[in-house]
Amino acid sequence: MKLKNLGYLVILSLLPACTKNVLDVSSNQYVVDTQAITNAKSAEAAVYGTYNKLKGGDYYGGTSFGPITFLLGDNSKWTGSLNYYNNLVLHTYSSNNTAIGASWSAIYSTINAANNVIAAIPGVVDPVLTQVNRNKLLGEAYFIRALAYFDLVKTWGGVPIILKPTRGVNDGVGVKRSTAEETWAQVKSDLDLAEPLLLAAIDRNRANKSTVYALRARYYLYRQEWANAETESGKILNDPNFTPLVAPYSTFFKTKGSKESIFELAASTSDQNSLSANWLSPADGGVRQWAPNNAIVALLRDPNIGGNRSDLIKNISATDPNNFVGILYYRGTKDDPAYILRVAEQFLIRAEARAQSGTNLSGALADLNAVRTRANVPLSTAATKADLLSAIEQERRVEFALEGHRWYDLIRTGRANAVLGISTADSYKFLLPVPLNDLKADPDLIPNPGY
Amino acid sequence: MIRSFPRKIQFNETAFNWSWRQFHLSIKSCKTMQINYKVLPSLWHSTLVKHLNASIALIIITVSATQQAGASNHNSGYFNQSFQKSNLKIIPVHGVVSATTGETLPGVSIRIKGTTKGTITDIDGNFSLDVPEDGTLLISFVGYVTKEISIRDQQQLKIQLTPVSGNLNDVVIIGYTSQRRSALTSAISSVSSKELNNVTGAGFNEKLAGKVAGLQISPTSGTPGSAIFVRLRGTTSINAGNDPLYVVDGVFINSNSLQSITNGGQITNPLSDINPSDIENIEVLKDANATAIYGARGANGVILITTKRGKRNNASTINFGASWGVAKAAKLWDLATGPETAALLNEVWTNDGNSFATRPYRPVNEIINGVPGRGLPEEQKTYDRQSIVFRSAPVSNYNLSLTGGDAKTNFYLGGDFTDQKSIIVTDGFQRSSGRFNLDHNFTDKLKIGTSNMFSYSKRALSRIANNTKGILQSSVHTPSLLPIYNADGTYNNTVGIFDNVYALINNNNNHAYGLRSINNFYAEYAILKNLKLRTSWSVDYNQYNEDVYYNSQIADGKPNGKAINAVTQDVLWTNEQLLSFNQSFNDVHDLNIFAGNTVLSDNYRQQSVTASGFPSDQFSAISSSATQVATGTKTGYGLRSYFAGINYSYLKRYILDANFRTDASSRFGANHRWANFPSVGVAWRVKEESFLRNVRFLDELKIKSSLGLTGNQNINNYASLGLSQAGQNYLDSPGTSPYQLANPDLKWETTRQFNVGVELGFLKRFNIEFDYYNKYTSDLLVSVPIPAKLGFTSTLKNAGSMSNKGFELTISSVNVKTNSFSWNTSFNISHNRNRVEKLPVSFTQYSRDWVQVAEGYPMYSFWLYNELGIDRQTGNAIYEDVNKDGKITASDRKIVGNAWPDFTGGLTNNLTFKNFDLSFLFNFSHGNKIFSMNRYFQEHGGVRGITWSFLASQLNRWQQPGDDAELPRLTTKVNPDGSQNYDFASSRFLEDGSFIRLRSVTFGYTLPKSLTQKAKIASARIYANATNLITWTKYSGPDPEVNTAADLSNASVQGLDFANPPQPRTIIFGLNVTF
Repeated sequence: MKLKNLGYLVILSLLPACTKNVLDVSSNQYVVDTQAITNAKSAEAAVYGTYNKLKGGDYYGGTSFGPITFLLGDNSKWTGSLNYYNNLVLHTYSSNNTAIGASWSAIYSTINAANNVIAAIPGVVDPVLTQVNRNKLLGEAYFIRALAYFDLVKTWGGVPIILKPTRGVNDGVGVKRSTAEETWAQVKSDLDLAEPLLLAAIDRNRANKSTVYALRARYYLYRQEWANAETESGKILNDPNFTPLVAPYSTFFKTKGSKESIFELAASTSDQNSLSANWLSPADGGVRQWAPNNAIVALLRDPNIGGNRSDLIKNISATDPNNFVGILYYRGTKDDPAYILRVAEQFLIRAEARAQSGTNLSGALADLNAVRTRANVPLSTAATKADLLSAIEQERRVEFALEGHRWYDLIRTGRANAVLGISTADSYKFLLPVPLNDLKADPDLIPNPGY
Repeated sequence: MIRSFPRKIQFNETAFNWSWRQFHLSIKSCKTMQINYKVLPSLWHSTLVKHLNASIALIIITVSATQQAGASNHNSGYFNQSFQKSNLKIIPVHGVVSATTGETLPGVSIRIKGTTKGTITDIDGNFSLDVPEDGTLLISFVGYVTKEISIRDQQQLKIQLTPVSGNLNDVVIIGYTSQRRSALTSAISSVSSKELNNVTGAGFNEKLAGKVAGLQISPTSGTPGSAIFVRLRGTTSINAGNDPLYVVDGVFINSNSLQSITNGGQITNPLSDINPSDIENIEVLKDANATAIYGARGANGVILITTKRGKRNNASTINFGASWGVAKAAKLWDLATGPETAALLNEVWTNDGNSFATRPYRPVNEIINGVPGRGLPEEQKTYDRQSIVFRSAPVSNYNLSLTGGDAKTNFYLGGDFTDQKSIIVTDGFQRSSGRFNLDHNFTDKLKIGTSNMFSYSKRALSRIANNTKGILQSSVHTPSLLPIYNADGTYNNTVGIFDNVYALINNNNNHAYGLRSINNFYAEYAILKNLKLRTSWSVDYNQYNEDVYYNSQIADGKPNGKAINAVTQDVLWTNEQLLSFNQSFNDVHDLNIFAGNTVLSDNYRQQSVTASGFPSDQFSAISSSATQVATGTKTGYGLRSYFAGINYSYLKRYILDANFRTDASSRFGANHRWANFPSVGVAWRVKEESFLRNVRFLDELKIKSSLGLTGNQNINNYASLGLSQAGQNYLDSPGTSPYQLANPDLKWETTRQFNVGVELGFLKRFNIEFDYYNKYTSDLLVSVPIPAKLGFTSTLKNAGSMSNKGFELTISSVNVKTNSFSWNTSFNISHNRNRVEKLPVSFTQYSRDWVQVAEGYPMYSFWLYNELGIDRQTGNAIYEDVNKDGKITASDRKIVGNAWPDFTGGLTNNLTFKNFDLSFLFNFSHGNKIFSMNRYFQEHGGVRGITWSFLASQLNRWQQPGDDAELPRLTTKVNPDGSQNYDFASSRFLEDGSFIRLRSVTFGYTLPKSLTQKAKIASARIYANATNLITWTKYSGPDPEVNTAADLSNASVQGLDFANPPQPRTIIFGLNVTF
């Protein structure tokens, strides 16, 4: 062969044959949204994905909504680097608070995940998907959506109600904020839809009939429907799967899925909860972004008030008696569950409902003392409605010292001004500001008054 | 092929193209020869001269010498001349001409001044010429400064020529073709290898600082091998990337860091895989006409890197270089001492309304509520942690290269080993690299070649900057009064939020290993003499292995150790075909046409394993752990493109350039997959007009302009699709959830750029180039916030526009030029005005909301409370009440400045005196703002209590009514108007970041030839170099150039300084030897 021809040959052999189109790229990590829920397996995965959103870092995980709920109360102080947490402690938050903005969007992201499940599951054609299982998955999505709207309404008041999965940017155009009443009604409606669909079998990490009862009891407490609250909490308190209370107090957070838990969001070493990282000190692998304040430390260490609930805190300094960390979330392996509904709350809901309705004050006292007994503190002797309510308020503060009840309790009982020292003129702060970024992005959204 | 050499021979231009060696042999054996050439190849020419009086009996030469440009022009005339007779004694002079680099120069013109008589050097740079005894020789060569030498009875001459920078005849590579600088219509800057190696640094890009007008280069940290902020003519994008496209020897390379483990905001510079000493030349393509040929990737400019190749017919040489030195931080943070800290905290206590008696730093025996005092302020000790973390770091570099070539083949073999320790005790960067470049004429029509680089880098890393568990925060931010050890000798890390500094140093185990292979193979076939087809195949293989182990002694490793291993791989394949045609018609019309296509495919994979629960600190292997969590990612994109260009010049006076590229990218929506990028440029060389041709002082006057479109496609690979993602698990079962919304209309960002420029050269000394540009980017890919009620916070849309307008001025001059002394100066300055022209919604960047992107303002704008001063009576800070509602709320925040410099530039001076050389480079930036996060956190006024140290500057606080202090009253309380004195996004922390830096000084000495030749050394030079020797700035931090959020997507934040190690002052000594 002549060299000249060889040259042509070399060139031609190098010219791209290009049978493969470089423009067709595929992913093994994503699927097109409309194809996400098509059979039993993908339906189950989408429900797991919805729980994942619920326990996500900005929701019940460690960085936004979770901390908001307890930092707003009067049990915490800020000891870290991110000052927007301090604004929560000091009640000086504004609409551009990072944690508030992230919470709002994380909750709606969870709602969208639930809406995807609710919209897709009825249409799934798969013989493997039994009716029981289909109902259960659907019921779980309704329950999660109820919890999400509950969290929205108690924190911001009436919010936009979105019940369909989002497919395009313009899907929400025209959806304005509903009233608080309408939002509460949505919570109730989702709970009522969930109950018949869900299984009765106890599952402390997933929704079932008991989780609906427990959340509904809390719903009636907030709505001040005392009789209903008593009925719903009774369903839990009469169930030997939950009562009597496990003792000592620390059992519920030292043991995963203890009898105390009606609903806890599970974490694992591969799917972590960052709350411990924010509570613990560097010596234990954390950053101690916040800590129990001196007031709650004093209460917890008082044997007549805190009792064995002092296990929630530990002193980390040999020289400084006020250097405490909270160890409700204590696992260095970061697999602490997030506690959403537990039995002690049901006792105190029933106690409050009974006290408020005034018909069963002794029952109220018994429920209160069930909690106090477990905490190894002297029994209460409160006898009047007012004394009982005051004792219950105090008990809730200590029993849920590092959990997110205090702020909402003080607001729903009208005690926040007095206890937190927030002036009446500043009462608008009881509803958190609607995030600034959202106000800018959503012409349908109006801010809460005062901000 | 010609195998024998006839006695009689005729050379015709149309005949077979002989190589020089064949000609050389035949001339020796010929008695009669006839040459019919328009231009005699210069090597033939010199050989003819040599043999003119020797063996050849008759030579008939027909050379049309009239219209040829360039070097051959005046030479060919020689054959029509006879020797000038005179009464002077004619002496035979022999000489050798070499470049200052030591390499001999063939084809150099030697002419006797005042005559047309002369010769040119042969292949070894030698020449012989009969010269009148009082004669003066004019030695000239393209690309070098012309030299005059008077003979004065010397018969042996050694002549060195100095290269000219910015010479009009330099060949400039522009995309797929090359042009003489004089024929350019574009704005292109070149940097040579010599200029590059005057600065110490791991990557070539950091060495470009201050050298190219319009190119902004800022290291993001003082750690070697870490990311460099590079912006060419501003920023064109918010979300789609702003880094220029890098092309090495025709290979598109990845310039994104493959780092996956976060290290406090710091990322690596993937370009530091490339050995800078292998680089011959760097071209920076700036305007649309130069970059449009890169289509959808050209909007941010293109940086072309050409590595060294051997020269044909050149003796093989070996070059060895070595340098050793030391790096040290020039400035660190000035912290309040222990007693000062305690006194400040006591003041906070009383200012907050507490009683003096209960102050925290009171005598130990004053026990209140069971709490003893912490001791009086003056009893506190000061613990300096900075001296523990910072050190004087050794740096060294060795490089070796072999180069050479014969008539058909040339090669370059190079390698280097670089070891740069960081000024942070735990950190360092090492690189070993090798290069092999080869070109070979397989036949006379087929040329093949290859360029290959392989490099291995090793980084020792630690978490610095914005990481509370990192080593720098531990050393700088831990209050100085806190002891490092507890009384029992254990690490004290229980108070505060930072880990213990010794724990971090002694237990740091954080390494990364990079593998890089950049390979190109090409074949070029001359279908016709002027028509060439070239095909090239390239791959850039990148691998980055990270290996981190936090043992149980440090916070991240609690309780039982944690290890992360990650392997990231990016493979970028490119195939290109190029058909090019070059023709000159009667020397009136010069035409250059090309067309081609590109197919590009990128594949990215990442696997990472996080292991925890180790039996003890002795175990660090993943397999030793109790729990392992793995993640994996695979993604990719593809591009298919066609392009064409034409360059036409008429009488070398009027030049027209046009380019076109059409691209399809897998990243874009189905509705907009293909896009077209045209450009056009014109130039008028006014100097060549008859009315200026005889203006002697003017060397060049050219006016040029260009207009074109370029694109930017750097967004996530599947950005246009509505997706649901996996990995959203619960109860360790697989879960999926919605990930992003679909946008089938997603398309490229398009940048329209207009450029107009003037080039002026006069007195053979001065060259001035001025360019004005106006860039307008539309269809900006913006991650637009959408109502969160939809379940998504943002979606990517083409929904904005941005402009960049500016000018660039480069002045170079030859100040002094004598045989023994020369002095050249080059100065450049550029100005860019960036503005976000349209943006549907403003939004903030970074985890703190201080940096905002808003319509009508530049990128990198700071959104703060504007502090007006301090109330002398109350000591409270006064902030501007923008909405006049009497309260200071978020709506009173406004944009108070930005991180853009008004001007940047550099000044280079090169001086040589005899064998000594001195060069120094200043670079400067003026008008850029820096938000000092160190001050924000460390002038905390007590808000952060004992968890955070104070800067010494905190002492300048207001103390009593009437004080005119810099800082407000210490307090943790909120002011009556709702504002706070401290821990508040105040403009107080925004500082002027202007600086002038003596970026490099090099002083060298080339050993005399007489000495080196004895040792058979062609040349040897020793030198000393100082990098970052002096910085003049008003900025309070250690370094005005670092950026803490370098790892933020697309470096969309600038001017935030937070516990970043400063760029060190480095002093090295080195030598370069050529054999």
